[in-house]
Amino acid sequence: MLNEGEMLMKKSLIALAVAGAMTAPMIAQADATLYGSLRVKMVDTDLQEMDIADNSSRIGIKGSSDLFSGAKAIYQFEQFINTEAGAWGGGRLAYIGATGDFGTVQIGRMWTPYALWTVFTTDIVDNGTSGDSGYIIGAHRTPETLAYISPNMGGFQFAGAVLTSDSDDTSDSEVAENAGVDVAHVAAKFEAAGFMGAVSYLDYDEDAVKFGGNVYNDVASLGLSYTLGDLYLGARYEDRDLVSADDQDAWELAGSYTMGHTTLLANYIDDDIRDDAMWSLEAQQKLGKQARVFASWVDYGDNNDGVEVGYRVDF
Amino acid sequence: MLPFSMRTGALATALALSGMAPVVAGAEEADPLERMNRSIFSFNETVDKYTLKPLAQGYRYITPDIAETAVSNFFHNLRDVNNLANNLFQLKFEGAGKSLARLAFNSTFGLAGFIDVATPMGIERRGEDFGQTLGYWGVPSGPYLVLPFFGPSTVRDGSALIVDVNIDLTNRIDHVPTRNSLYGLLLIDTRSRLLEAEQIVTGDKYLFVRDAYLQRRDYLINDGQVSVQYDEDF
Repeated sequence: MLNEGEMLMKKSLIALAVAGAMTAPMIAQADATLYGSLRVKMVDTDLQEMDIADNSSRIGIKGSSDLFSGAKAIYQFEQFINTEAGAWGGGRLAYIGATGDFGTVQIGRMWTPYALWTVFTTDIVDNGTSGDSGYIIGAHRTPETLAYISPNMGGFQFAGAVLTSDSDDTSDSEVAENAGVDVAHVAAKFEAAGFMGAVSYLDYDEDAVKFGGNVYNDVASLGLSYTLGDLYLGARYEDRDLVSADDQDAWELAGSYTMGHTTLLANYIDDDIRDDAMWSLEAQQKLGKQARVFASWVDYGDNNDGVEVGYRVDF
Repeated sequence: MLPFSMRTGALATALALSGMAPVVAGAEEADPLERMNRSIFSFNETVDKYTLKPLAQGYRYITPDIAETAVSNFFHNLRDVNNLANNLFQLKFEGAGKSLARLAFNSTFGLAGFIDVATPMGIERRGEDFGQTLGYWGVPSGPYLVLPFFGPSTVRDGSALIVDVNIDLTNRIDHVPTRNSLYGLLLIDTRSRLLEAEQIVTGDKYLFVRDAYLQRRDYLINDGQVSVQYDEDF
């Protein structure tokens, strides 16, 4: 489903294509969608006094085209936008793939099933505490990834992915043995009657320094959520087995309640990597179909708390 | 301070009802304390005439309208704390949620409450006080009661004031001069907003205020679902 902005963009891209092909017969219709979300916040906490900061702005292009078999080829390219510098801020997504009855196959830089099915269950607030412990291991968006996500089979879905890089930290003689899979990832989820439960497992090769294989042996996580009308509840648990340190546990709880254009949210994060727990309470208000504001009280622990307010416009 | 804001509402209701015959049926049962009430009422009138009303008129005269609105907004924002609590007490979770969202946006985007940004954003006020909470749970209002200084009330609503005052954030300010200045400003702000409404009062002022107050409370406690038959008045 395209929203209004995307439809407009699509139309203007078509117009552009038409204009560019004045003499040539019109063969292909440009089917790319330009989209974005610009987000700016103002932070006033004990450690960050009155700062206007970017809040994960992005701009991207995505689309699909039919394959002869009836399946679809898909692509997506998305960049960080730094609204402080007013410049591109680096890559977020860059993948191509195919999707059909068989499921979806993707290759490139993408959101992992780990992120989609477990991290996102609690990553729901707009303030800086959001999903924090889900981003610590850095496996939420991964480069050099080949992934398969099954079709939805009566609410059940599974996924498998491999990350491979040629930059393994090995001596030449070992390359032959170790230049294989750097990270193996499997995940599964089940959804029924508003309930969602998902498990994810990441197994690291110790030589895969690029992906954190020198830090983690493996990471197992669990995501749960329940949606009842306007009420949403999410929970997440993660267990990290470290190469040369004690294991780390992390858990998060998040919830939201929507009343028309107003949504109230709260989250609580307890991660062994930090001494203190973090929590926040937030109100979000939709000002239009593609604009919203939030105001929140945040507590990052370690005597660092305060207020974050922000505005975001999507297109 | 609470009944003053109610009085605003009461008089607004009265404005809508002006020209209609006051509802007098059963008035005696509702007001067994009339003799005492009338003497407190006239005491309040005297206090008002020589202190509050001139102060409010002076405040109105010297303060720009925009500043008056800002002051009213500031106190309304503090009231949203009471609205939040009393919505919760009445298990009105949506009202509580909206009050919390109003607090969040008005205290930040609204610069500590001086600007009411929540209303134009579409988050309407859900006013509730502890008297309404008691009414919601079926506590009868008891006889009509005029409180010295505070004005029209009932035995139930007058007692409920103690709870609301304790929830109120102004009451939590430790710095006494600041706290009292805020109370003073609130009083003048509330009184000044009544200056126009009081011009519509006709006949026996005591009866007018009493009937308007009781009808307004009935209206508020039932969230606008009133069983009064108005058709006879037309």
